[in-house]
Order: sequence, then C-alpha cells, then structure tokens
Amino acid sequence: MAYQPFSDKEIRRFFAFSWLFAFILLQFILQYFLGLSWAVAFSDNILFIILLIFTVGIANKSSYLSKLQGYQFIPACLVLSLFAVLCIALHTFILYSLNQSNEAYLTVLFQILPFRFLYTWFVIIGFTFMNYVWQRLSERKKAHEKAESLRKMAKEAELDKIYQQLHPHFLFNSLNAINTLIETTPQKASDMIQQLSDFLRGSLKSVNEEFILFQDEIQHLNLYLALEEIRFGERLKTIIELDQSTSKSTIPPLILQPLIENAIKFGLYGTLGKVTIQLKSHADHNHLYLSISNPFDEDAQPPKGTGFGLKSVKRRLFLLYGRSDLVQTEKKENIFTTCLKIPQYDGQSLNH
Amino acid sequence: MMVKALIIDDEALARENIKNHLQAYSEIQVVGECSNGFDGFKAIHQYQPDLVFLDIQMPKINGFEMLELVDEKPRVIFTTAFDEYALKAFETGAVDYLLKPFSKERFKQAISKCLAQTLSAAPHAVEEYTVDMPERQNQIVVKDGNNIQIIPVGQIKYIEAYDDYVKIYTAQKKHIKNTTMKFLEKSLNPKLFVRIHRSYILNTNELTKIEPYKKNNYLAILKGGEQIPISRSGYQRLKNRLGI
Repeated sequence: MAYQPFSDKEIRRFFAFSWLFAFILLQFILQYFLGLSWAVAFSDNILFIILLIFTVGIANKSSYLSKLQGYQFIPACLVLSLFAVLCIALHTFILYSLNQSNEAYLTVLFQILPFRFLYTWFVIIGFTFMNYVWQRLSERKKAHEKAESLRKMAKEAELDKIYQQLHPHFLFNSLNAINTLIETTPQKASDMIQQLSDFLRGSLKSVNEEFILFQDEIQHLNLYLALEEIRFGERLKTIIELDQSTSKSTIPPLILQPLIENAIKFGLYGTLGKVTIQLKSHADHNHLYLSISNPFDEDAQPPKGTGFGLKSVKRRLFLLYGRSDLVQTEKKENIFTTCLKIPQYDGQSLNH
Repeated sequence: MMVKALIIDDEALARENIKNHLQAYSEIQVVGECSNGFDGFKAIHQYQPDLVFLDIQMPKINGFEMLELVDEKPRVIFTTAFDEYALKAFETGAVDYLLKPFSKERFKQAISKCLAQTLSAAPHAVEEYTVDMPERQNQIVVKDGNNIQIIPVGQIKYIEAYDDYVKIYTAQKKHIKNTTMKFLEKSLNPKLFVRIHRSYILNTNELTKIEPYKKNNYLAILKGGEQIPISRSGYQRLKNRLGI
C-alpha cells in the first residue's frame, strides 16, 4: 500500500494554497497580458486547473507509477507526458467547442498551447516526483521504526534471558544458606560457594552456544541440583538415569534446565511432603529421549512463573526444528511428566 | 519478660540462620519452627507467639495467605529473597522486612523495632489491604476448623457479603472468610468474576440464565439452580462483561 502525502493535514493545506496561487497567477496572465475578458479568462482558467488537478491525481494513483522502482525514469516521464497531452487536448477541445464564435479567444488559445503544455508537463512531473520522494522517505522511516522496535524487542528478550540465567531468587536464597553455613560449618560454606560459582559460570557461558553435549548439560544440571538439595535438605531428592546410548547426544543449552526448575517448583511449592524429581534418558540414532517427572497436587495452583518455562522450551524447540511434537506432557496419579524428543543430526555441530 | 518467637521458613538453613542470630538476644525465646504455612498456622494457635519470622514463598500457601487466616495477629518480621513484596508486607502491618541474606546489624534493627513495640504494648492493628491494584489471586485460603483449606478460584460459584465476613460458595460447601467484598472484587480475575450486586460477586462460568425480577431488577440463575439478585448497576457490569 502506497502512502499518499495527501493524508497529511499540513501537506493538504500547502497544496490547496499552491493551487489557489496558480489559479490567481494564471488569471492575471490571461486577463492583463493576453487581454481576455474576465469571464472568458475565468472559464479557461477554472477548467484548466480542474483538469490539471484531476490529471495529477490520476497520474499519482496509477499503479504503474506507485510500483516504480530504481531508475525507470524515462518510461515514467513518457507516461506522464502522455497524461499532459491528454489533459491539454481535453481542455482545448472543450473550450474550442464552447467558444467557437469568439475568434480572438481561439487565437490566444492556440497561441499559448506550447506554453500551456510545458506548464502542465512541469506541474505533473513535479508533483509525481515529489510524491515519489515523499513515499520513499516515509517508507524508509517506517522501515527504520520497525527495525528499531525489533531491535528493542530483541534487546529486551536478551536482557530477560540473562535475568533468567542469573536466577535472582535462587541466587539470594543460596547466599542466605551460605551465610548460615559460614557460622556452623565453614567447610560446607566454602564448597557451596564453589558450586554456586561453577553453576553461574556455566549458565553464562551457555548463552552463546547453539548445541552442547548432553553430558555437559547434565553436569551443569547436577551443580544446580546439588545446590537445591543443600537448600531443601531431605525434602528434595533427584534421580537421574543416564543410558549409555546418550553419550554422544547433543542438546540445545537451557532446554533441560527450565524444565527441571519447573519440576522442582511444582514439587516443592505445590506439595507438602518429600519430593522426588526423576530424569530418564535414552537415545537412538535419530533422537535423544528425555522424561522429567515430579509429584504434583491436582488442586494446587501452579506456582508463579511455571507456565513460562514450559512454553519457552516449546517455542525454542519449534524455532530450532520446526516441529511442535517434541514436547509432550502427561499427568498420571499425581505424577506430572514432561517428555522431550531432541532430534540428532550428523550436521548438528558443536561450537567449541 | 520473655518474648516468644516462632520461625516459619521452608529452608532449614534459613531457619537455622535466624536461630543463630537470635542467640544474641536472651530476652527472646524460640518456641518453635515450621517449614510451611499449614504447620505455621497451627503453631501460632498453639504457642501464641509474640513475634513470627515469616518467609513468603512456601509450599502451597504463601506467608501472606497464612497470615490472613490468623485472628490474633502476632508481630511479624518477613524474611525473604523477594524484594517485590515489601509494600504488601508493610500494608499487613509487618514490623520489618528482611531481605535474604541480611546482616547482623540489619537483624538487630528489626529486633529493636519489634521490642520497642512490645514494651510500649502498642495495639497491633493489622490494616486492611488498601492497595488499589492488589495482586491477582488464583487461590483463596480459608479456615476449616483448625485446618486450612485452599480453594482454587475456578471452583468458586459465587461470593456473598456477610457483615465483616464473606461467604464463599463452592460446589461442595460454603466457607466463611474475614475479608471485604471490595478487596475480592479487585483481586479476583475480572474476566471471570463480576460484582453483580452490593452483596454478591458471581463467577460468570456458573451463570445459565438471567431472568427479569420486579422492576429494573434481574435474577441470575446458576447451574446448580441457585438464584442471586442482580442490581441495576450490577446488570450493566454483567452485560459489559458478557458482551451483550
């Protein structure tokens, strides 16, 4: 859809004034330089201006010109010239028919024909050119604004990701636990600081990688789970079953972690008793299969921020593989299970 | 005079941290510690503590929801890693709000504030939530004798005003809770709940029919056959909500 400059109020006003000015100027020329009577000059002039406005309007509305790309100026000028000729021809024909008895006027009418043509030609070309430039500028502005807003959104998403990465609440609660351990068992506090550092370093590093070894992801996950187990003690138990077949599997980073976090949140904040989180995995030639299960309470409301994790994992897998069948969830007898299928390609290279 | 303190936090190390800090205060005696709001609620009734250290994010019901149910409210110091609840905490009349991890000095400050209040024996009135935009609730906790029951808001059929209380009707039974219609109207999902009368809030999923009743008034007929009056302004709100 082409943008018309006439949609702008100020531009519309400017054009109204310039047409009025052209009208007065022409009237002056016809009356005083060419010696036409007021009425004849007016009828000539008003018809001319009206035809000119119509011609400019039609020329600028024509789809050929609005689709004009690059340097097709010569064919464009030819078409516009044709419009100018048609406009003048129509004008002359009408006035000739109306004023057949007025010899003096007809002489003038034909005498000024070349000037009139030139004038018309310039006006049509000028308007079309202005319209063209205006459209280009506004298109560029729109494109620029769009690019800007996309950049802003991408930046926000990036910031959000980093924020998620840092797990602020997890971080502060862990620091609080360390604070206690410093007084009671300094050695444990030191260990926990080490684990926390390794975990944070790992999370920040994985932001830039496309695929990582499944085993590395599990190692990272273990750090996280160890920290959570220190915080929640006996309430939290995790079982990770790794099949030999998964030794060479790869996985996009941060796919597994949000799901485990979800499972822990659901388990720890949705129920009262002890919680066992189970991760099972196996692989065949084409896929890595994972299942994560946690206990849940039918009546409990999902804790804050849990829907987000599952949704973002689904979205990421869809963007990576173009498939929406890679994440399945099921509820069975108070156990909630999320099943993942991660396609394995030979070309799924690791960026080292 | 001994000050009785109760610690409610789902992390053992966090509870231990508070106990360690409290060793420096001979006038404060820890009478118990609990790892969730259910136990906390019972312990408050059992021990009648003067001071409660309360975590916010806990299993099933959070610290605020637990506190809502306590009639004789003790002084509360919130201890949490979340900074976004500070305003709400002070609106419940909390003595202080400690962000984990906190220092000895900051802890001392909180305790001094609390002891000053105890000595002057100032009446400890918990204010009504006056926030204009309370957090959206997706569950309501109620007392059922000495137990706590959680009602997911989807199970609520309608709510009726009852002096200083409200009656919350679900398919199974009705519950009574000490809160205001105004607060519920604002905190429940407006896509689901409409204040159809000064004394009634309706879950629109339960509505089957609207019948004219007397002049300018209507009756809402629910799936279970219950009939609830609709006021004139309530009818407008309901129409807007349902888009009719």
